[in-house]
Amino acid sequence: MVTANLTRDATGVRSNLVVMDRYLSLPKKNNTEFWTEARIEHIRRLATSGRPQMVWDRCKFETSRIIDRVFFKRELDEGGGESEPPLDVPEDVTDSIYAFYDRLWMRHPLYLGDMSFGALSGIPNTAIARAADLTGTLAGVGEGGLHPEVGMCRRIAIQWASARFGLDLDVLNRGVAVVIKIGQGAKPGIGGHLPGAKVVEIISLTRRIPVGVDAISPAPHHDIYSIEDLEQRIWALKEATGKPVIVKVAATNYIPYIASGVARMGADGIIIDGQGAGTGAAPAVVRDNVGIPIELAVAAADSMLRREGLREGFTVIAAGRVSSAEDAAKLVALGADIPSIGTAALIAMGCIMVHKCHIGFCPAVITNRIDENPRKMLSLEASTRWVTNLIEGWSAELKLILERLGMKSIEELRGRRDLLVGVNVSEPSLRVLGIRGEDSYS
Amino acid sequence: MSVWRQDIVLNLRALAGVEGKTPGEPPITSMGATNPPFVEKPQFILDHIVSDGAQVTRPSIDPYREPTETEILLFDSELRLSMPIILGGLIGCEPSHIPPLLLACFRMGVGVHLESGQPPSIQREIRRFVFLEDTSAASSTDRYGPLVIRVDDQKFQSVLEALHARFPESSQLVARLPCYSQPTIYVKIAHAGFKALIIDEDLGGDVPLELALSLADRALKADKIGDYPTRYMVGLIASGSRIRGSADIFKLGGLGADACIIKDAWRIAVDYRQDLAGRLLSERLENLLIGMQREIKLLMGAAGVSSYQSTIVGSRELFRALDLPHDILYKLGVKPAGE
Repeated sequence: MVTANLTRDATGVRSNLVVMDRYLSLPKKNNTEFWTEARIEHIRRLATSGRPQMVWDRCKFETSRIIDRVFFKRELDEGGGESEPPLDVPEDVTDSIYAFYDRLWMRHPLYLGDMSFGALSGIPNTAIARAADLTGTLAGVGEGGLHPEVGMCRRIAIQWASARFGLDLDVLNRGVAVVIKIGQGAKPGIGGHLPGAKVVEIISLTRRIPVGVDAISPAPHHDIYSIEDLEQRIWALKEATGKPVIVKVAATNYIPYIASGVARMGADGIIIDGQGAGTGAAPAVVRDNVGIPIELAVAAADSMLRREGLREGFTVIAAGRVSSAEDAAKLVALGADIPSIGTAALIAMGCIMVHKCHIGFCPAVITNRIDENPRKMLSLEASTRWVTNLIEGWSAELKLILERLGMKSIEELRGRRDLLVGVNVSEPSLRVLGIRGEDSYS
Repeated sequence: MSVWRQDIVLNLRALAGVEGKTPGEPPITSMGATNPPFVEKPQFILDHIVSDGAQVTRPSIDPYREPTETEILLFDSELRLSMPIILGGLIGCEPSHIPPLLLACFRMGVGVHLESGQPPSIQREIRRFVFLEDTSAASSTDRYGPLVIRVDDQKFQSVLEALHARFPESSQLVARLPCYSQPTIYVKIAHAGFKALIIDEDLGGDVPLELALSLADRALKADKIGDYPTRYMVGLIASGSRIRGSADIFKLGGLGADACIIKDAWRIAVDYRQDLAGRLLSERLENLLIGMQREIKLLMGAAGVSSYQSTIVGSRELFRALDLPHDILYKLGVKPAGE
């Protein structure tokens, strides 16, 4: 029944149906935003062309994250001599890696963040999963139960979250990995939240919950109250599926200890989701006041994993405000294996950052409430192409950065904190990052 | 740049029921944050402080489904506040608004700081929640709640003794003082016999509220009266017009405040006007307070904490600072994020 409904909605031609295959123009904003017009514009260019647009991220000067004030020394040495497009993508540089103790080959080091069916309206979920297949990356499906079209894709990671919505052994076995979701960057310590307005019949069927009722997942897993409990779940899921098990946590105060615990208990990787990451719905007070930025979390976790001898083969995925290939490269230099994007993928599909996902009236029809008789829907073909292009263009920009750094592969960059320098970064942050600092651009 | 960013104002008004359709419910939002210090410009030390999210090694608590307790006990447990909030900044309010405001606070179990003027003839139960500062016309035979004296310098002993003489029955004496950077002042005042200190940034001082509070909390913990740390016999209350809501209260709690006096925040939230009907005013205020309590519970739950006073108050370890220099971190007693 689920499939029948979806197929009809996805392919049914109606005379008054508008299929969105172009970007909306950006609304005038009266408050400050991390995803500035320039950032959105850059992602849109990547998504429409699939070609690199810049080497060094020019948007980093618009915001004041710590990572925005961390530079590759090489860029400072170049002294602002900017190369303009067209940029030639170096053919002898590779960004492919093997992840999760060499069990999964990734053509590009990119994880497409866990956005659920329900938070997104179906077509975006499908587009992301198909783009992952097309680009050899990996897409997390989020907590909402499996969308049938997404379930037909291969490079997906099935999420096992605290509410266990729509999960059974068959669903767990559909992907190439299982993600135990403990926390997320936008609301550490708080469970998933799908507002009742968006729980329509199809969502109710996939999640196995009543229509119209808020789906608020428990804050903790009620069978994981300790690190020992986590170990039991990791091994149970490994035995049940035979697939790599990844643990997703938010970047919080004790992240180094959490990361080492997760690695020690046998997980194949960890997703660390930093402060400022996107969400479909979260209490503002928690989103704005809990959690630490990903750059600090990754650096701290990587240091601890190395000290404990747990780093080799274990995969660290870094998420939260990853906005450009340069952000990705810096996170790798600080110790991540795979950067993760969520919001950037939504922007590639036309998101204009109006922060209305929880209401269900998304002007870009990405996070809108699923309607029986929609008047407007996202073009699956266009959105798949946009996300695919974004990944290819992103990867090309990453390769250009690697070329500037004199490297042939992304592996060479991992943990190379010596290539970075902080400008106007406080001493305690520099110590966590393990990099040198300067008071001004030299 | 205004203290009252647009998102803060909207969220406060949504809690009070002035905006939106879910009064008393913590506002829900979506997509990434835009708050300070990394997107919006930070204005206060509070903007650099984040709370913990418990996970794996320590489970979080689900405040929707599990009990979490925000009550605060002051004056040797003689006064119980249901949440760490005291309403202040009543100067300039329409006199006819004072009774509905007091009633709302009493109903919600929060304190009221009356900086000037007399409490209206109200029931004794309500009076227990009133922190009375202007005692000039108070009758010494009547029973009052906490009595507040302003302490601007170190010559408070005579004032205190005079007050003792006038109100021999009252044991709830409170000192209100500016933000001093010298921790010994707080200890001296505590030893003089005050049972609570209001550190009020609006009175000035030589350091920001965050630092004064954390220095006072640690100094009082290190000091002893008899066998007990002085801190456990003296309540600490933070006050300042720039306290913007539950997150600020929560973080100030972590730095040592048992409770916070909110001033401009509630006026902005209820959209205070002289012609506001008293009934509507108390309804909005009650919405705001229950909403703020729920927000505090969400933050507690996220940090895996079930009791505010025993686990949040003065727990600097539960918090981290984002990108602050060494000297401030040292005075604050908070670790940098990532450590």
